[in-house]
Amino acid sequence: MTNLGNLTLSHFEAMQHEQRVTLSESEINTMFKDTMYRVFDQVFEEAKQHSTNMREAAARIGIKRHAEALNYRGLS
Amino acid sequence: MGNMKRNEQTVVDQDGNENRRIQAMKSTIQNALGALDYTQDTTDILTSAYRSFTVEIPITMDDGSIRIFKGYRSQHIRSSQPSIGSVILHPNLDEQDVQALAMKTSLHTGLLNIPYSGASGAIICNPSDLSFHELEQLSRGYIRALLPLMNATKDIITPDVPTPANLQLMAWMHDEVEMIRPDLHHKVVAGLPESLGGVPGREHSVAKGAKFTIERAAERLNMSVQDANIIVHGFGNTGVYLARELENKEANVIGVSDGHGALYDQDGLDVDYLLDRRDSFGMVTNLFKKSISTERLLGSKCDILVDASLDKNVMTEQVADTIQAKLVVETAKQTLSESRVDQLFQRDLWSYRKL
Repeated sequence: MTNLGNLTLSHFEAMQHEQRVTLSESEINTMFKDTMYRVFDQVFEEAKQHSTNMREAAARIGIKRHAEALNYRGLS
Repeated sequence: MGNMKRNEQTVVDQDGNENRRIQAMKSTIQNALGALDYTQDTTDILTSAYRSFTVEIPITMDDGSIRIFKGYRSQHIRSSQPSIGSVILHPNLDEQDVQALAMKTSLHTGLLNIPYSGASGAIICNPSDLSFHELEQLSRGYIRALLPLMNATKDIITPDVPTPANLQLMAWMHDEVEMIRPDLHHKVVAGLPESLGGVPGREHSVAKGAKFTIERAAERLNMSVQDANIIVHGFGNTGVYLARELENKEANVIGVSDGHGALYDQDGLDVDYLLDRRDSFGMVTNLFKKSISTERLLGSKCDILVDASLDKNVMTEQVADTIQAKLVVETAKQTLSESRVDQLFQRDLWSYRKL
């Protein structure tokens, strides 16, 4: 099953390929930690603000970017 | 765009036989978009998968016979940015499952705020029945069949759970891409072994992500991981890693459970000792006389309850009612149903799922 940790590292790997650099484990770790903390904070704030559970807050943030992009581009 | 009216219409399955996974995914997206006041049109588009491919991959088996395997790839959104998503080897998945996973991956990329939309893929097989050589043929066959279709520079294939076996699959797929299109070097497959350009520390990515989340959650809830009493429900790969890491942070692991039962000790368990004693199936609780039921463990007093289990049937309404933890953290397998999450939420417990 896909999950954030796995996907995050895939993204870092794609970045690494794109930029032709090799990142060290501690660099990766720092980026990974920052990312997870940021994601948690975002979801936590969304959940508090709209008094919803974390699961639903996560879904809202997750789809929002795509919905916004879709509407800017045009639906059809 | 601003004042679109929310349409309460439920997701209608057009052919009347959508499977449970895609229905659940669609209602998640629908609810989220409804709460954000997007129109039904937006919802309709984002609850459908833009592109899906089915391929039939013929493989020469070790006994010389030919067998044909089905492969899928689905891309969720028509978009200028590339898509990204795993490929799963599994005997019982269909096209709708793969579409649902692509949608889910979109939620993940949105949450991470990275410039991809979601995709997903599957090869229908039972990998444990296949030899090393047959798996290689299958990985390469999947790429050969799909590469001309999937607009290769714009869809990145990643591994399912990053086990060494899955990294090997990615390595074969990567190699096959480069044989067909050398110019696509490193543009199609991510999740490679380090020597082929992968990132270090991949094998624990799932559990590590959960660990960072627990740390942050504790911080934001003014709890301290240090000296916190922790119960780990599900002492498998993820559970063991988390128990160890949290113990390293001077947390107190007071309970663990596996498929046979649970262990509980208010003064703390020694995780390394438990690991030493595990049998060849990775089970540990059956080796101790003092084991308790998993249900009782879940209802025991603790600060943080980590659910890293695989069994969706343990967490019943009654069990969820007895939970005393202040923070419930679910790892990737989604063992809590929607109603359980609501229930915990009503009780003002912080429950976080790594959606």
